[in-house]
Formats: sequence, C-alpha cells, structure tokens
Amino acid sequence: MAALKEYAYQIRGNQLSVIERDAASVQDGQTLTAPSIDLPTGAGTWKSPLTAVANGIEIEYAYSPIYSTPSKKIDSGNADNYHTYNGWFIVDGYLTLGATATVLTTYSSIAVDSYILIENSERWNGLHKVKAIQSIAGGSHGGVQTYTKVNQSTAYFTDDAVSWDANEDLTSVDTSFSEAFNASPGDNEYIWIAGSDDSAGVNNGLYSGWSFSGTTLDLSDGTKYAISSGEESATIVSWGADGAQAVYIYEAFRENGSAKFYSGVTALVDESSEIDLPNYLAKALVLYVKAKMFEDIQDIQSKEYFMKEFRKMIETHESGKIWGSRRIMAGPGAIR
Amino acid sequence: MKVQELMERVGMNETGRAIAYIKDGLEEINVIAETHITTARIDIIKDQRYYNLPNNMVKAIDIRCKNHHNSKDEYRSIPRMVGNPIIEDADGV
Repeated sequence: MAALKEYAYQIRGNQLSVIERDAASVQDGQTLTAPSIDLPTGAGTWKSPLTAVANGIEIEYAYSPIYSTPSKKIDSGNADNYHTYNGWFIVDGYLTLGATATVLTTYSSIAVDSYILIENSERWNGLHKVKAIQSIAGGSHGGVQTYTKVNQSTAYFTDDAVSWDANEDLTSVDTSFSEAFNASPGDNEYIWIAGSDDSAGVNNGLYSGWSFSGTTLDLSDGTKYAISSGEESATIVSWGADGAQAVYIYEAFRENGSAKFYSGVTALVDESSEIDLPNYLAKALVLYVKAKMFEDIQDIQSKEYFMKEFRKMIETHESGKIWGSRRIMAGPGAIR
Repeated sequence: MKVQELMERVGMNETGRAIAYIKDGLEEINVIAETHITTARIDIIKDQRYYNLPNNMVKAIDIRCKNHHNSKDEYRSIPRMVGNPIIEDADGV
C-alpha cells in the first residue's frame, strides 16, 4: 500500500511548483498560511517532492477548442491516426517528437503541413502543425518536427563518422561530446540518438544511462525506451552493428510513457471549419467578433455594448445549467 | 456553427481575421465559463519542484496529487501554499 503523503502547490510563471511535507524533518517547520512561523518539533517541513511518483500530479484545466478531436483509428494497414511517442527534443528551435525505432513515415495521415493533436504529454498537449517528418533510419532526427517554437536551450551533438558496435558502444565519437553532455548523467537525463540506418533504424531512439570516455559512448549499461504495441517499455540496449555513419544526438525529454498524438486532425483553418461550441455560445461568439470589429475602427461605445451582450449571454448560459430555486440562508452567527 | 455562417452574421469577408478573432473568442469563453475541460498527468520526480503547465491550458480548474492525505492511490485536491517554503529548491529547475 502506498504511503500517505501531503502536498501543496504554488504557481511560478508558467510552471507549477509542487512541494511535499517531510514529516520526519524536525526543524524550521511552517504552516501553509504562515511560512515564517516555525512549528513545534515534529510538525515537519515543506520541501521538494521526497519520492518519485508515476503520474503523481493531475491537472484539470480548460482549453480552447480550436480543433475537432478525431476518433482513434488503429488498423492493420498504415491508416492509423493515433500514435505513441516517448520523447521530445528540439531541432533547429522547433519541437520534435520521437518514437523509438518507430517508422512514423509509413502512416498516411502524418503529412507535412497537416495538424497533429498531442494528449497525455507533460507539456505539449494541444494542436501542432507538422513541419517535417523523417524516417527513423538514417535521418538527422528521425522524428516529427513541428512548427512549434521552443524557447529553451538544449544540448546537441553531431559527428559525421561514428560506428555502432555490437557491444552497445558508439565508437570514434569526437571528444567534444563531453562539452555538450555529461559524461556520467543523472537518472533523469535522456538523449535521442539518430543517424543509424541499420535494420530500419533499430539503433535510433531514446536512451538514458550512458557513459562517455575517450572517444567511446558506452550504452551497455544504459536503458533504451522502446515502443511496442503502443506502449513504452524500458529495455536493455541491443544494437546492430553499423559503421561509418553520421550520428545526431539531442538532449531529450522523456514523456511519461503514455503520451500520444492524433494525426490528420481538423483544425480551425478556413470557412468550412466547424466551431466546436454549443449553439447558444456560438451566438455569444458572434457578439465577441462584432465587438472586436468595432474595436478595430475605434468605435469604443459599440465595442463595449457588444462585449456587455457577450458576457451577458455567457452568464445566462452558465446559470441556465443550474436547476431549481436558489436560497441564501442566514448563518448560525447572524443577527436576527 | 461553421466559420462561414459566423462571418455572414457578422458581415465580415476576411477569413484570416475572422479566424483570429474566433480563436480569441474561444479562449475568452473558456476563461469565463469552461466549456472544454481535460486533464493531464505529470510524473512527480524526486527533488524536482517545478513542472511545466500544459501548453494549451487557458484556465486551471483543479490540481490533484496521488496519495495526498490517503494511501489508496486516490487523487485528491491539494491546497495552494500562501508564502514561500523556507527550504529553497536545490537546483531551481
């Protein structure tokens, strides 16, 4: 049985700060509402999470429906529109999704300039447009590159002639690898390897637990995050020999194993697109667009009128969902 | 309702501008009255305090943690902390 825990959160910019109460800690404790007041011995302290928990945080949130979620289509051919990916990395500043040793190019619905919809991601849920897609074998990234810009600096290394050997070593790697990546990484550091064209790209994918010494990147004690039947599993590394190939190594971020994306998604792009709103709210949206048009021509009075009507319709829609009479009762301490 | 019908009701003939306003309006509606709600789950990593919020989030409705005040693997709402913890995050990432 799992241990009972106590968490709290704060919002920091576009990040969620999660802290956990360490009941075993005996000094400098504090309450939720008075952080500077020390609690008696034994009350614990608030710290960063004490243990790893898979899928430990659940965020319920509202999103903007600028797309239509398609059905999940999986068939025996190549018309699937629901795919698993297990890591993301940045190629030329753009978000790129990678699925270890998976040939995403065979699926007809993943096309350049089409839309994909990510779900169950730790960060990238929502609509993205495909910029490029590469075969997992022999490509410079082997993933699905999107038009989503990522304002984040990550490590990238490339070498034009390395060898994958059967001992799960990458040899003849330039010594500058250690300038980009840690020679002995921590538990949560991942790399995406691309470039090998051996056996449909089985050497390419998401890895952790490497070590680097001399000119050898050793993955014999590492972990490969493989995908099979739509699920990710951590496996031991097993490579096919492949000599004198270019290698492309990206700092990568692993998803939680259940990240998926839909391909061939219908987005709000032209006049034939359907707006996914109840009829009543669609009429409120008309008022909003009218308000924006008047704002453009500096007719502020008309803009305010339509915005007022817009808010009124939304409130009416909200209150229309509540049935029955509404009563306010006097509290127990009220003056009679 | 299709984009075309909305444009006709408004009296607009620039599709790109109409779609931009429609997207703004959809966001505004979801901030005021949530019509489309979903959940995302994130792994808790030992000693990592900060986590990215979902890219498409316009309004947070609830934040829950597994085993918060229970040992049955249930997700329960966690409180928002007022003030900052005394112990800073070690690496700030």
